[in-house]
Amino acid sequence: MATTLGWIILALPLLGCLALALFPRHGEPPKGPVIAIGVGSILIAFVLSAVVFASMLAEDPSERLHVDSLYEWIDIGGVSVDLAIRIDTLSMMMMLIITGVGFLIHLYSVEYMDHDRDYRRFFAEMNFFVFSMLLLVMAENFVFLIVGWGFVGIASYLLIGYYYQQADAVRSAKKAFVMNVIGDVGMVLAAFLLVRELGTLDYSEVFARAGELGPESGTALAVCLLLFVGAAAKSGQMPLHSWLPDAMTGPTPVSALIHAATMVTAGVYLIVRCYTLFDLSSLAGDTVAVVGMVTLFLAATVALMQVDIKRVLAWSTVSQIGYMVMAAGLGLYASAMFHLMTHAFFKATLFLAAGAVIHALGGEQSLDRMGGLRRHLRVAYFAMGAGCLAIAGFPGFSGFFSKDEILAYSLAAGTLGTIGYVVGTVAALLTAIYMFRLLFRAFFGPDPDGGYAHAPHPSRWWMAVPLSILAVLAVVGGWIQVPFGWHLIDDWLAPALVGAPEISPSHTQEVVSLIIGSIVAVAGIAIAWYLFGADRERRLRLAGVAAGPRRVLEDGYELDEIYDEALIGTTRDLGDALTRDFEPKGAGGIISAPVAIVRGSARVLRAAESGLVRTYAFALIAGVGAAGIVIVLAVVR
Amino acid sequence: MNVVAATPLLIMSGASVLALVLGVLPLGPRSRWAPALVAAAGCLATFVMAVVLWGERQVAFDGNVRADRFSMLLVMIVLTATLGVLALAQREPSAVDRRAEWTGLLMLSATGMVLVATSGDLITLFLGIELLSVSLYVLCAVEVWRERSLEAGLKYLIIGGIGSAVFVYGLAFLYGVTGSTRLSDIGATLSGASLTGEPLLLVALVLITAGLAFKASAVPFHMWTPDVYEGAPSPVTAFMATGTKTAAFAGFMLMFTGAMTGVESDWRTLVAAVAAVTILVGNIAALLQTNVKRLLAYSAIAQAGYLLIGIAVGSIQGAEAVLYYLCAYTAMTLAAFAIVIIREREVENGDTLAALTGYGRVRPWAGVVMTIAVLSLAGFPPLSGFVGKFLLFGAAVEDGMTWLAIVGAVGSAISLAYYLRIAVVMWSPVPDSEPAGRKLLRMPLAGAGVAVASTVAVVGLAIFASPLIRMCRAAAESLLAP
Repeated sequence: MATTLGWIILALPLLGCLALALFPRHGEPPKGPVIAIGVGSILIAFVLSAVVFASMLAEDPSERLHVDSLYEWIDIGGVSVDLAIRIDTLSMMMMLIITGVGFLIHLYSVEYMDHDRDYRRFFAEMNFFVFSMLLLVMAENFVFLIVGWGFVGIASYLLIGYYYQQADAVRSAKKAFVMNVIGDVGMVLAAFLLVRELGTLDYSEVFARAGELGPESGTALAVCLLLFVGAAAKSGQMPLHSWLPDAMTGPTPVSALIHAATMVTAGVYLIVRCYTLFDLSSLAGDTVAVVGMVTLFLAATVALMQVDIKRVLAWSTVSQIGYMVMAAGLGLYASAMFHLMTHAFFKATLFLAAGAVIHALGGEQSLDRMGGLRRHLRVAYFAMGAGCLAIAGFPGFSGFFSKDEILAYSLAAGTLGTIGYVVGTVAALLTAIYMFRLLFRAFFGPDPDGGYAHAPHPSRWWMAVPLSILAVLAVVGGWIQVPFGWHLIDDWLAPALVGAPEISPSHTQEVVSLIIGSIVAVAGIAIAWYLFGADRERRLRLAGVAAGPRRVLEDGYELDEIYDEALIGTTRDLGDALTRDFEPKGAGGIISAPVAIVRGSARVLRAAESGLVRTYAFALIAGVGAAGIVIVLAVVR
Repeated sequence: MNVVAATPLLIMSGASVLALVLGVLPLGPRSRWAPALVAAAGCLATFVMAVVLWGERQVAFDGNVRADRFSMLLVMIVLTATLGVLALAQREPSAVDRRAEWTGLLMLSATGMVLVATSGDLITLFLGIELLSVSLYVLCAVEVWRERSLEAGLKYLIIGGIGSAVFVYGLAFLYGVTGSTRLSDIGATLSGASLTGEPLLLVALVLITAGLAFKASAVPFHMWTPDVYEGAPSPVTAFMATGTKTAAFAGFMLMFTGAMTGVESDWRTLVAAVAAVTILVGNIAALLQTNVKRLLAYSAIAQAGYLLIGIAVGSIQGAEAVLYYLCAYTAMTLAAFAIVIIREREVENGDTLAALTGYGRVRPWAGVVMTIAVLSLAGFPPLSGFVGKFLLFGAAVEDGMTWLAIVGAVGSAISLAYYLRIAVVMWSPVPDSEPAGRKLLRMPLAGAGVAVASTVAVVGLAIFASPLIRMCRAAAESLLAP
């Protein structure tokens, strides 16, 4: 039954998307049916996921694995690829997060997108995203993982560029897509290697026979690193992170759902899903952990200096995913998934609260033109406060438990883990500072100079209710796994993580980490209050002190510029050279040159022509010569 | 003498001649569609014969013509392309008043392709290539009142002549080495005697590779492609992009995977090098194009590079992947060209990217067709282009040519940049500068039908990949049948 419901869960958002896309197209349809289809499909999917979850709870832990194949898609020389889904405890957890948080964000969008004229397109694309994301986590083989991986990329591309009238939205969308394609290439190559070595792409078989790759073998390392290229691109890990802050050009619910709660954590899901492969190569795991560490630290420093409220949150997302990636690299798979879940709660809360602010201020996103909002927007204030306390790791809030678990467990994960602990703790201090900087600057103090151009209006219940629910989850979501108490996430995921290394900290390590974590959170909040809350002039006085490093941080270490030069610039120059110089001049110029055509100068044309054909003929003969050289070299060798 | 095996060839030749003759008869304006109908009927009859002949190898004319699973699958691809182009030519300005010649030449060219696919001998192979080329030289220049069309024809003729000379020279050397023109005899000689590294054979290999690579528009023998694709009437371009490419790769498979498999070690590096260079140059040069036909020309070059991977691998699996990809490639290319052709009839300079701006908003179905076509060309999962590339790159990895698969994957990543640009342009808002009243003609039904059918095929070939791959497998295996 689980798989039957699984197919229905997968189909619902797709049907919703199709129904919306194929709506009779004259004019914008009435909003009622659009809302009913767009939000309803996700709600039903969530309810069904909950049903499946309940039925799995009733099962014996060892039987919580359901695989069902609809039909055989490709069969090439023994390698068969089925259209199949897999519902185990890991994918179940992801399904609940995707449909649950997804439903709340859809509900929120009903009001948030109220003024938009492309209402239907928005919900069609959002439903398509939910379908793709579900496909990604429910796939039973690497091929459909890649299909879902590509689909979420398309959905993300469409939704980042949702405001296609704005040039920078289109540019960001393209950038996100291109960087994600780099990741896709890595994934595809990893799949080829698996086919070559194991002759199969089904999870069950690949993971069962992963040992044949050989522990610490080059192949295992290559497969893991290629997979990680895909994971890093999707999850905004350095050096493939720069698309994520730019992706904030999309509508805020999109940022909350795709670029905070679900899609960007797919990389973490991938590593956890393939833990058997990563366990084969300690070098690959270490690489993953180091990349996570570098990312979580650098992104936290960049977040300190951002002025755009959504960019602060975007960099914070990069940093928080860095924690998960580090945990996954160190082998702390359950901890990574725990943080993935709480992060989905509190980051969605933060984004939606920020969205409520932006909505109330008529599109204003700069912290410089905010202040005193707690007097105007009560719900957003409380939600933002809850989210900030959670992400800062304030004792008792969800982030406290999940972040602490990662840090405490790192202590038990060898030297690299200890380094990770230190980096993670420093970054946690920065996290508390930058998040409360945002809170204090936007919600405390006086109204900005000149007041608000667009009087802030509180949100209606469409936005207030989902925001409140998520805020409550952000507060209590961590109690599901409490040190020295209960470990529901560990227990739940255990059947999906059979054979993963068991790393658990000693009591001393646990206690030390809890105490230091609490101190760091409180200290960060205090520093933020000192810098940004107590005296609003102090920030401006300090701003001049370190202008140079400040600018570097504002630009995110200027990596964008470097990429532009190195990657895009080179490709463009090469393309220029090829078309303008290497390709015979006339190809682009003489023959098709508008001037020549307009003049109709037969003489010029004829002269050009004979020259051209000669060039082409020469190239052909030269090509034969080159081919001759190649074959001689090949045979002699 | 068994003539049955030659029926596809005979029906196609008959239909070509009949279509030409219809132009001379005083039939009056009412029967202006007669040539096209005759051609379509010929194609359909041939298609039926191809289905009937699907099975073990039968030979005709002393083994000069062979009908087996391999040749019949290729014949079906060629016929599909021909039928599609016939439909796309419904309102083709270059065919007005000369429909019989236009159709007749198209059919003659298709006959040449069928001859290549069914050939069992170097002579028939060369004959087929010449027949398809000579007809195309004329078709490229058929729009005599347009300078660029004339120029395309002339250029193609001159360069094509050199290409053919190189090719036939190579065939002569091969004859010199093996003492036979029969493909099966050549295969037996090359795998029996140890001829690896024989200088004469190497010369033959270089020249044959160059000749076929020219027809397939692989780098560095590609330079004619952008000019000719841009200059020729668009349906002819679509025919070259699909039919000629299929015929060229039929030649590649017959010669390399089939007859010369015994000396594989001699040529696989050469073909792999050509494939790699083709993928990189084609994709990078396509980045800056603003004319869609020119862009599709570079795209066709890059696609030839992917296909060459399957040849370079040299295995049955490689040939299987090439066959599948040819099916997918024909469908997606026809879909893309159908939209360009429909647009071209509506506005001046309809083959530029600017003319396509916002077209998807005006005609959503055209936007959907184009988007699916370019995504599939880019190899986006789960469309058939992805399945095809998966098979090709997979064959390369399995055969120890991982580097070639990486080049292919990198090339695909680059290609997304320009393919996606087409999709984005299709759906961007209609520019304000547009002169009042964008002209929207009533949709030519045949053209729209081709576009939609090809798109359905692009998706269908992916969904029902399994049965088609099995067919391709059987076809590839019959290549090595004695």
